[in-house]
Amino acid sequence: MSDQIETMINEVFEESFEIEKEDLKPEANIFEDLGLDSLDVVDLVVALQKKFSVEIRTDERIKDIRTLEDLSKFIKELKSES
Amino acid sequence: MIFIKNLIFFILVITFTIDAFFFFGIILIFIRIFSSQRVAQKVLRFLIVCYGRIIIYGFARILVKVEFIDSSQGRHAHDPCVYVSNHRSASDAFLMGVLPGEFVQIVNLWPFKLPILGLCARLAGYLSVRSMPFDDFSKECKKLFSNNISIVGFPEGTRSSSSQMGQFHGTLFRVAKENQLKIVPLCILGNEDKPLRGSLKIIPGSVEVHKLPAIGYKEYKDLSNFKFKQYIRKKMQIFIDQRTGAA
Repeated sequence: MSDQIETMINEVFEESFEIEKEDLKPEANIFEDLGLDSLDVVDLVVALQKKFSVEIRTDERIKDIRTLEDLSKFIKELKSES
Repeated sequence: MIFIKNLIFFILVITFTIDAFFFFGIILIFIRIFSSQRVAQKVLRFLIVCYGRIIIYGFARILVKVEFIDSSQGRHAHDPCVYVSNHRSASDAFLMGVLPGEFVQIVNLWPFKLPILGLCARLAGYLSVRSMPFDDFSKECKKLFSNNISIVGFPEGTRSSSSQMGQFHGTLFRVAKENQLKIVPLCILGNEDKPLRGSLKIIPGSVEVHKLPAIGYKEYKDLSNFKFKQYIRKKMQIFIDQRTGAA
């Protein structure tokens, strides 16, 4: 389940932002390493919502996400809550 | 010797800034009485460019030789465009004075708080990306473009500490795409110690402002917003690396 979520998150980054697979490491900072900005995050949220069929936009926890690992944990929490 | 040259430079700049503020102010008040706000702003932007050029080509020559190298391959000077520059020094905003045509700088919030310069920036209609949501910023830019006014900004947002540029913020690129405008990359080289970070000390030497070939809408229209800014960043980084020998 955990690996599957990580794979799906990586797919979002590859499909929506054309980021190379080798750059998608769990410790990669979404802003500093991958280069997303606040406007890109809006696109990311839309893509993640579509991919995982969850509501992310209004969740306050999204503000604390910095790395892919954080994102993966967040999605897992959301999935377990739903 | 460097200290004395710096001292002379700053005395000249401060004296000139105060004199220019009052002299240009009187000119602008007269223009505003007899013409529209648009004309007054156009004149003010022209005067700001003159002010910048007097400093960089005049007073700064005591310490620094500034060279503007245009490799834009004939971009029509009157078309509005989006200039994007790397950012390594507090002097970068002054260096934009080398650019042709009418333009508005996109700045952070703090420059508006500077005495004299902040007031001039406000009156000239300079914009801050941090003071408004993207949609409002985009509308403001659209108004400028419809009046043939370009915008100039530093997509890194903050000064980089090495020749490796920081990540780009996409606002300027999205605005260019929405309006199908050319992006004109600018690469400033040699400015990292003019002045030194956290200091006012200017180390003598030369600064080059390179205007790279414009990237037209046709070239980038199929790229995603994210890929577009990365594409320009990569082009600029390759140029900087080649020029600094880092390649």
